[in-house]
Amino acid sequence: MKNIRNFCIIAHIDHGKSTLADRLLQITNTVADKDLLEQTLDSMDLERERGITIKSKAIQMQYVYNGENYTLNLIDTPGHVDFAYEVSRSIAACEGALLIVDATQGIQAQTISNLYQAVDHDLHIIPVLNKMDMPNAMPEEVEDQIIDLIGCDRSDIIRASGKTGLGVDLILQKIIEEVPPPVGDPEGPLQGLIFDSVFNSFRGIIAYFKVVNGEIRKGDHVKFVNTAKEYYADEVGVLGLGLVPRDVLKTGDVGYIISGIKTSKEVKVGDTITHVKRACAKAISGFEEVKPMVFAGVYPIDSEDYEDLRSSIEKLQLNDASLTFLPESSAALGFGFRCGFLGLLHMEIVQERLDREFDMDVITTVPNVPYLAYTKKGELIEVHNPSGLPDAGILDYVEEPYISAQIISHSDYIGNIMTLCLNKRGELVKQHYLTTDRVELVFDMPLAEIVFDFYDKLKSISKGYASFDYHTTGYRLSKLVKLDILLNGESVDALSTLTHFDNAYSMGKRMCEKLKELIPRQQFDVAIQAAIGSKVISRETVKALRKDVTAKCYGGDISRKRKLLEKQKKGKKRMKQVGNVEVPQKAFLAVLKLD
Amino acid sequence: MAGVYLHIPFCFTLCGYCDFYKSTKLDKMDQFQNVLLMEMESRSVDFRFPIDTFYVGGGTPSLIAADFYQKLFSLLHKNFNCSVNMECTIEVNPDDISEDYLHALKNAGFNRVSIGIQSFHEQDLRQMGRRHNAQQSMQAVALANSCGFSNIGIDLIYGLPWSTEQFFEKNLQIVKDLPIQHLSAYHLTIEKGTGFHRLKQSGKLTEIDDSRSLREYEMLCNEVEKMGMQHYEVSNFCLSGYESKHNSSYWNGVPYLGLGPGSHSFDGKKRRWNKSDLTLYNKGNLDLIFEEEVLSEVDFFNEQVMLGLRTSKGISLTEMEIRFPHYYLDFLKRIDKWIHRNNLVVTNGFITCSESSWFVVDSIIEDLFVV
Repeated sequence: MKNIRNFCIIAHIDHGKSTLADRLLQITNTVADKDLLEQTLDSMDLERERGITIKSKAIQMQYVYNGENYTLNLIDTPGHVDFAYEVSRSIAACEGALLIVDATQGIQAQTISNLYQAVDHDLHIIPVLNKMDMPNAMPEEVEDQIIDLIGCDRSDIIRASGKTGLGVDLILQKIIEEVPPPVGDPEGPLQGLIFDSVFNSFRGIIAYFKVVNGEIRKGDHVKFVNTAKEYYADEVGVLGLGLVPRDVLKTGDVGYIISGIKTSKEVKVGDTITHVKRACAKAISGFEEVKPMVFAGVYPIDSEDYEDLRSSIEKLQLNDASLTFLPESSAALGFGFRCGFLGLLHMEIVQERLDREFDMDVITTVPNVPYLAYTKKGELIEVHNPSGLPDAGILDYVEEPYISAQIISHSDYIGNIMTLCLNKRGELVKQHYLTTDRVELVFDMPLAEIVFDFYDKLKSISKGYASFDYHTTGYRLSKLVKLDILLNGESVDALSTLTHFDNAYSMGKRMCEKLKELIPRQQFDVAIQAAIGSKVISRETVKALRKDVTAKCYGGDISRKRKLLEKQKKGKKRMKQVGNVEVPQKAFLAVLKLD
Repeated sequence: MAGVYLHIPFCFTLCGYCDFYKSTKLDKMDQFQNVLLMEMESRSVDFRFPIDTFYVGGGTPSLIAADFYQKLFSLLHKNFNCSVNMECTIEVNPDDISEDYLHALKNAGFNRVSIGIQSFHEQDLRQMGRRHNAQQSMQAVALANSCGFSNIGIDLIYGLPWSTEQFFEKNLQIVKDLPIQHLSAYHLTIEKGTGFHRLKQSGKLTEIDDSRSLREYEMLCNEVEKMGMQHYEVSNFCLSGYESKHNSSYWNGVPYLGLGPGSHSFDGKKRRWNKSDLTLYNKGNLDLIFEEEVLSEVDFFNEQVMLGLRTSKGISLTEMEIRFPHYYLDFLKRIDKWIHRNNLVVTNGFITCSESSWFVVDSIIEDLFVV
């Protein structure tokens, strides 16, 4: 146990975490050079393309130092705010953390919030300044930021480069010398902390865990405390480049368990594994049910694909337990699902995976956050879609989720950021200068306000420099209204949104304007109206098409005109018929990106 | 029944709206004429339908002397089985026709002239790049009439950006008093590759708005009706019995043989087209000048819908049922919506597009297509 080191990496997207991790794997001969697909840890194509880790991973390395053999477990962490809970469980499984900061960019919001979590869990922090090979590296300045943040000495900071290999040996040396070995009771009842799970189509769910106390052997009869389900450990082992089966995992080890579990829903990140006989007294603290914070309707473009969509989402859920779904139907879009996501990125990822891995063409409706509606009779209803909001007659009040939003930016952009956040109903809670020109701002904000285009706007007003992170803080009273969109007098349920009263007028106006751009002219006028209840608050008209005819069609024109019209018709196949109005698929999406 | 079309791809000058294949390299004309006669003879071997219509279009056919057409006619009669009442049309420019020339064309065998007038206003003609002037527009018809042509058609273009509804109305008032039997009136369409398209790209020409287009179209329909003409195709009007038989054959699926570069042929099964390449054509290797495609059942179905709805005759339901049994029921379902909206009408087993809906017929056609 004294020769085990468990550590994770805290870094912002693009700060070179994966490249540096690859370098560690190479030096410890964990991965042969020829197998080193760029960024080994990010195994999903999507992760490699986006340069972010969606799911956390773990990998074990062996390293000889001063004649002694050490086992180093690197637990990778997801790099996006949507997956903050998974990060917290990965951190809980470690004793140390590499804080990797890009020497050309400095500390970002995401880094800070993850760092705070690591500090909360008493992890030993090893600060690393990465990308030192870059000509625009500014080591002194970024070192100042790090010192200010964790109060270390300048000499504690390792200057490194994943690209050239600079400083990598020193990192390994410091991990061994400074990160404490795991502590735990090898003789005590088994307590294993699940920090991730993956789905394998042949073997079912593979849960990754750390043995906190006791030991687990192949064949043991075990129980997952929070789900109260029992299994036999068909296989346990450690995580090399692949799965390496072992007979036993002891206190401090990080490894995997395969126990015939078919669906990821049974394996909850943060759950505790123990023995059925001689169970631990209580579960490892910190377990939470992950709750989706963004909901949207997902519909097949072709209604005949409904069953295919269901089986695709089910398959996705096998390795993405945080995705929830319930059948839903819409007058405009037919049958589909109300899906719950951790956040907007998660939603985008699911949409992209549906497209890439399952070839499913879907329409996603305007997303909303979960609201708590209280009726006059005192009932509590959780509202996940606009149609779920109780009638004004029985509704007493509504609460909406709030977040604490942390933004770090160059101080030049403070004014813009303030304006943006205040317009989004934010309240400034804290303003703190990290260095003379880098400032940290903390706002209390309704989650609903960042669901729309907030991140894009923040990036654009700060010329891409501001970084952003948030965590939910609870519910507050809200003046919520349901904003309906009517096309030729018919309400289009798929375009309805829940919005704060103060935003309803401008939102209604912008939606009508956007739809006017997107709905093609038809044989008749199309009236686009935004309404709250029976009150119309905005109106636009798409004028009827008056001329759509080919002037001449003689011998030489026939083939060309036929092909042209066929092509146009194919283009329109992706339109949805709403009442008598043809609405292009992009109209359902583009309302997400209102100017 | 079948037709023969001859494409004369030469123009003295180019007009801004025209997207037919043409060249101003008049020095290539002699060789072109040789190859054309050769092509006619050669293609006649496989095209064994009796010929009811013969049409010479362009370009500018009236650039060529009448004795060439005399040669053409004798070759035509020698190689094809021509019907006695064969409709023989030639397109002419108002400024090319003299009394002598028209007589010569008539003697050669033409019994119908189509005069490319386009407008009776000086400004319109200048803007469009026409060679003739307003006075020549007026005189051309009278000349053709006095030379004994009793089947005269003229072309007009409306929807002109620089013009007004009032000017178009004046054009129609002039047409009213002319001794013509046929009128083709086209809304200006700016096609790629034309001079107008380049002007549009550079922002110097803007198409008129839909509502003015529609008003001009409605004016056209009303005025022409007063002249006693029938509206028998989207852009074509005539006195009873004076439909262009040749053009009607395009819409009725009748076979036709196209000769000359850029011309198209249809033999009932496949569509073939000569490449728009005069240099290649003039080399005279007839095996290399064309491309073709065989039409599938769906292609035929879509063509039938597209062409049928553009004519006053419409689409025969019986014919659709016999030719496209697999698509027929679905077709009936889809026309229903348009019948309810009064865009389409069913009478005596034919579906027709109402005159007012012709102006948006492309979107109806598109909706009825099978893709």
